[in-house]
Amino acid sequence: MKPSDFKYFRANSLDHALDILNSEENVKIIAGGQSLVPLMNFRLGQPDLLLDINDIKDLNFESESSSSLEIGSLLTHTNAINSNLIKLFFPIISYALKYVAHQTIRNQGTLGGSIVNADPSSEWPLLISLLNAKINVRNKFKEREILVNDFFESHFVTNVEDDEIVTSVTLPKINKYCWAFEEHSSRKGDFAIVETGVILELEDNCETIKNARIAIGGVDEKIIRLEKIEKKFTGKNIYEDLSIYKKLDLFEAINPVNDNHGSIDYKNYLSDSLLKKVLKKCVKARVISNVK
Amino acid sequence: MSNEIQLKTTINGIEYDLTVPARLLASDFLRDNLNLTGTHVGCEHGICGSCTIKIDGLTARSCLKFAVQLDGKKVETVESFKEKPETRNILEKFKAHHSLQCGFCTPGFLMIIDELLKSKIKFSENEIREALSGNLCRCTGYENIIKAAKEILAHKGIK
Repeated sequence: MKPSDFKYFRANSLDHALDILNSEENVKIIAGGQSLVPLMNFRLGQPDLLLDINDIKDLNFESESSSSLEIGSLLTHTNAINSNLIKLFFPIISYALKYVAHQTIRNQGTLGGSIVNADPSSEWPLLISLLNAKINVRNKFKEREILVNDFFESHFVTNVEDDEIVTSVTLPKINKYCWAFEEHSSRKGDFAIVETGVILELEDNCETIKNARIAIGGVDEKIIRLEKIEKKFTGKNIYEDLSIYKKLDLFEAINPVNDNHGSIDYKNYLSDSLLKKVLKKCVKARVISNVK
Repeated sequence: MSNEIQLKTTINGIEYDLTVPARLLASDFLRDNLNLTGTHVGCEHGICGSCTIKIDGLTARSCLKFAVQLDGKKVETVESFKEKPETRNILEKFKAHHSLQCGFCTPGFLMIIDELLKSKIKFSENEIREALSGNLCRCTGYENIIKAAKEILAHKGIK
């Protein structure tokens, strides 16, 4: 249970870190380390060089523009939960992140670390998928913006290249909406067996659904958006019974596996019941309006 | 960029300046290099909570940090608890409620309770249970630990 030998470097500027990523082989970036260090302790990860980015101040910020929030990749879960800006525009983030492990882990774990780890049952990946985020990454030579739909490729695999660092995530503001998030795990703080979140963007009357977004995690190799159900919700009134969606539209979209947390049947059942629960909770929730 | 790194850190108010292997875990550094054996090593992958310490005032699993990451930080371990009245009170409440038998998990519980005590918010009993659920105890049973925690946090007001 001890990591293998490696070299260590702590960068204090983004440029310096990108130089190192560009010139060295088998480098692993460490932020909070709450998923990486267990893997290293088990020797499932054996980097030659550990590049510590915790001192790079440019990666630790929150900023607001007229159309979006931008969050630096080093923001810890604890700081995200306590952020007034996040609470104001996206209370779903403050709510859902309380499901991440335990306080001690949340003190250290970061947004960037969680999304590049790309665990399909984690909270941040589901949140950025639901919020149509753009992920900003940089290498030594250029910056690029990845749409969340192109970001996650599979279990623990993202579109980020070896020489790139995730610098921030841009979350487009939503004008009028209600939201809900629920997850089920064997014990509090465990990884979710199934997690699901919903955002219903509303017309000015605060009743007609302009655009529905539903994301589900833990039941496929990446976070799944239930596009078929989303489309059918457009134009509906939120006081209609939204739980009468076509179950096949859900079951065809997800691909759970049998494992020690449950069978395929159980996970299908859980997905259906959690989805009904979030939809019910969502229409009862207070409508968030960002028009100032 | 090296396998051996110089490290300057403050632990329980004492400054240390040492060179350590990059791969040395903070938990092993505390126990083996500094002989601060109050920090216990259980699972070594962040589950059990026995190795919990405070880094710059926030709890952290010391088995998920490398010693070199303590550079420039202020670290508190369970050994600091006997120094200050408010943390000594935590120890006394644990004793009064028989919140430990073997004591293996105790340093971690003390750390997290101290963090709850120093946070600005009030906690309900459920929230206290939830906060302590990140630490595993295999012999005392959690009830006495929760009793002590409730009494320690009582003067802040329980929700």
